[in-house]
Amino acid sequence: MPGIYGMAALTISLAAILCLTTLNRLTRSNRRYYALVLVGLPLSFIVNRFVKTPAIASLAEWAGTPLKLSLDAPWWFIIAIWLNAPIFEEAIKLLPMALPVSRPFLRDASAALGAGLALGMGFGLGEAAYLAYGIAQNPAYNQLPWYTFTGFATERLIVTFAHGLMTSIAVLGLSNGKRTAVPGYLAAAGIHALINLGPILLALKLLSPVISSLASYIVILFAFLIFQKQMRVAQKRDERGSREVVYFER
Amino acid sequence: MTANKIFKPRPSTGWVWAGAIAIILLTSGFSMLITSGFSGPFMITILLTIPLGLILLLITIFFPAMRYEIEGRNLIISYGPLLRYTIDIGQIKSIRRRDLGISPLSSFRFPGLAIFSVPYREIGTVKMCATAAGTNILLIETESIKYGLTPENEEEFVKELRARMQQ
Repeated sequence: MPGIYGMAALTISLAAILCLTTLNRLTRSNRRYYALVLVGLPLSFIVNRFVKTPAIASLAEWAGTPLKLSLDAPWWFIIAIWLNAPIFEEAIKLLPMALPVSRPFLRDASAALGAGLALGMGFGLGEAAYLAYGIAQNPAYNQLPWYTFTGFATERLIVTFAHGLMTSIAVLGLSNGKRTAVPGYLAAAGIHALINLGPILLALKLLSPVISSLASYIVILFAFLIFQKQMRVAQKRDERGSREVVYFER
Repeated sequence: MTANKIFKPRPSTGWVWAGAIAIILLTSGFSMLITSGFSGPFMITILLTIPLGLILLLITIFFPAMRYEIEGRNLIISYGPLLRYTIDIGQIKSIRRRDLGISPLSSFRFPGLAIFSVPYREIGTVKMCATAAGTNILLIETESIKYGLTPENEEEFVKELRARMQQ
């Protein structure tokens, strides 16, 4: 069995535990959000297999350019590859929120942030499995022992949460009404594009691996700060109902 | 002379989180060290993961040593040799139990475990030594510092504190 599967199992298990714990904390253990994690799981496979890959392959074929990221490719094709994931992945993560059954999750900011986090993290978990499968098909990697994939584990743990943060921003936009739905989606896609900029420049050999990772992690931190601010605003409204027992005061 | 009284915290599985993260960090750090050594591209990651993993491992090991001890006019909050807060009971301004809102920027806070100084958005920084991160925290406030505890027998703990206040 390829070693990547061992590391993927460990990573996905740990990420799932952390994701569910985070969700429990934010949603006061409301189990309805678990359903959204499950809904998010297959979305990465669907968007990669049926949308992203056919779209970029068709574009390459139409333009007569090789399906390869290099400085020899036309500039617009490099941009298309760069924006392929942000545009389609943020859209598909948001799609379940358009269904009428999801309406209760859009009733207020706290619920929307929780729903976005659940969907995005579910997507991230599914993506980790999908990527592990892809790596296992590569003869250059499928004989390596599991512990050589620590980079995969670290990256996927962070990216799973990043997917949650980005989707929560998009769902929050949707919950605030039609006017903010598109800006919310564009904000999420924009953050996603910035996160992917480092790896794209790395593939073009314009950045070193360390700087590429650092750049992506800084953007994820930025997304986290936006999420935290939104959550703070949303939770302030809920504080009125919090219980307090005063034993002694002077 | 009043006898010392020791109170244990509420049970929790907070140590599991610290332990799990410690294992992940140490496994990652040591596997990178074995595969690429200190001269490889993962040097910074190794230098971050192994020490942090060791700190979390110590926190896991000393989890059962968390206790609240009322000794004369002092309340001593300790977490093995890693943490020790001493509060003059006469300086206590208020004792209350409440839920605290989460702040993802918080430092040593896991589900079921919060220690050291933890920032909370409603009340500022609290010196925590508790088996809960935000639910049913017993807040003890002095003139300048707030402490967060989770004694298992809260009623008796507060009763004992109040008795010592009146001595």
